[in-house]
Amino acid sequence: MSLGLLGSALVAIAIGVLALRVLWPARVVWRPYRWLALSLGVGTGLGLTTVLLFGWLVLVGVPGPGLIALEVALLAVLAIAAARRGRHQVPVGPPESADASDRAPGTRVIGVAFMVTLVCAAGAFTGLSAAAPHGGWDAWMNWNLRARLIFRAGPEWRDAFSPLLAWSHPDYPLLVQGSIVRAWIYQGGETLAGPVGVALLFTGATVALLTTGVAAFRGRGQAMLAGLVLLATPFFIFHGASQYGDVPVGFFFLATLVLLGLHERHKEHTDRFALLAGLTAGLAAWTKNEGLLFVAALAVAAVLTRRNRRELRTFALGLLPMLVVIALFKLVLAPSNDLMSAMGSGTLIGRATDPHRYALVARAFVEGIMGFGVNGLVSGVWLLVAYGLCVWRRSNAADAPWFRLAAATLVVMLLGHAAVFVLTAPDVARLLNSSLERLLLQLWPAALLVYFLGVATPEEAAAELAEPRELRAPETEKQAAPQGGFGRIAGGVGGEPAMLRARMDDPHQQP
Amino acid sequence: MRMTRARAGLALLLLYAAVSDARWSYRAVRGWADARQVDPITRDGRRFDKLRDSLPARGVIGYIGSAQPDTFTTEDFRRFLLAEYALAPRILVHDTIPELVIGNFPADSVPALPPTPNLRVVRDFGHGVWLLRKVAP
Repeated sequence: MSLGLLGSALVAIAIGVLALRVLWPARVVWRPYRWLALSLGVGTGLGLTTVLLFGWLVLVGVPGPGLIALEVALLAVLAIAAARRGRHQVPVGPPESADASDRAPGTRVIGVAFMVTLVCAAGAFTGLSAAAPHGGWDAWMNWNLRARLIFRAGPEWRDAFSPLLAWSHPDYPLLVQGSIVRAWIYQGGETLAGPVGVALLFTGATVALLTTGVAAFRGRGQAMLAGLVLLATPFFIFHGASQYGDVPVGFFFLATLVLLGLHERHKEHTDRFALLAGLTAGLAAWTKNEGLLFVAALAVAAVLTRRNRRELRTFALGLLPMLVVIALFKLVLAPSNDLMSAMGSGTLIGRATDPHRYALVARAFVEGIMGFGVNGLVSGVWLLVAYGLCVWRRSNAADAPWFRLAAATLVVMLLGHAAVFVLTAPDVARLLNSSLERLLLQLWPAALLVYFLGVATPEEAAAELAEPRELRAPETEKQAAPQGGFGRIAGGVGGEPAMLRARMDDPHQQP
Repeated sequence: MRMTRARAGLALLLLYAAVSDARWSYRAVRGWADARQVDPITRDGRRFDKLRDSLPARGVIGYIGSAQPDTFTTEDFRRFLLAEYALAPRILVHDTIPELVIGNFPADSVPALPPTPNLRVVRDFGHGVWLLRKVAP
């Protein structure tokens, strides 16, 4: 990787991390979340810098060294603001995430497996990228083509959004292609390493965000299991290397749910995480049109799960700037969407009342979901079903409202996608065949977050065996109880998990 | 019983990861082996290197992709997309209305004459790539 490309990545990541640092709630300690913030900063930085690029294109024209100077100036301003904020921080205390299971020998076994899979997946990613540096079909005909059109056309960059190119989805917003253009501006010319680098950043950041996100709530062992399953999902790595927009938009879905989880944890002290979640939801909509569906799904899920109005207002406040940018893009540049433009009210009614379309879509969704993530041995979904039956769900429900919101959002997203297939696709079977698996991939990292926050850790499951509920001793006696269960294969639990403690203190908890 | 289930669950996850690890290792080796050859998209793009210099830097250019102008198969569409990708920022339209038209034919079915009579060949760049211009009726 050249210095130019490295510079473009580092500046974007630094802007993202510092922007998060500036917006970070003063009453929540930054340090325990620093790796999570770094993962979030990758996508956030790339998103914010492409908004800057869009503004430059519209207001100034051809981007060049001036844009780099502007980004560096923004970086300096954010660095000063972040340093000032750090000085005035009044923390409320560390998060309650890490528990004794982090030190269990079982975690080391999972850690080794995680590292092996990480190395193998990274090798596959580089091999796939070396063999196909232009990416997959959709990458070169949509994202990389648009980047070329913008970068090569100079003052005529608006040609990139010509209705004559309707087959290339010129209505898709700018985050992915903008990130590629930025990389080329820093590099001073086109290079295939630009789109490969953007794909690598989003793929890596998604793994890092899932792992650090689960770690923040459920400890390191559970986090590495989540990361392990994501890294071992063949379609995730293939698609990441294919340079499609589905992994980036999936990153922002995941980021939004992680931030809403932090909001749930710290909402007594701050609403800032809801604000940041609004921003990342907006960045999802700035990546692909499916992001707009995600925003709508979140809104529906929030109503269904009866979230309070104050947090919805704060979320909307974070979302609003991105919605304005997207509206400007859609109004000023983008031609109408190909699926929507070919649809009249008669067509819509005809499709909505056609039972065959519903049957086709329902069957494809069931088959697609149950077969998702197959790696030659078993599908990822069946794997999780089997694993869930083994460890069962966690008993502690401190973040249950978040869990309901996140799960409802994913379900509403699936229903929304199904409705889009039923109502808008001229050839529904063909569209299902070409895009359903990609749509499921977008939701996969977020689904893994919800899943691994919802199931018990192996240590918790083993502790259940060591101490059946009906025989559970009082707290003082329990500390002297012998270790066993999962600890035997793992070499001992090594301490009492915080979740178990919490469960024993709560007489209303469920088994 | 619970312990056995937890152990079995963990073993299942590790087995799933191990199968993927084997797959990734194979992909890594094969990918780097494939990378010794020029990838198909770069190779296809090189067919247009000389044509690029003969075209205006921007604007709308016509396109014709087979000896039967009325047919447009998936493979024809793919070659059209690759031509657009190679020749950006020019905008290709699958039509012969513009003044300049690109002929992009499969190497094994290059026609002897322009498929439509209102076009004349300005230059044959080889590999099935032609530059055509409209002639007055």
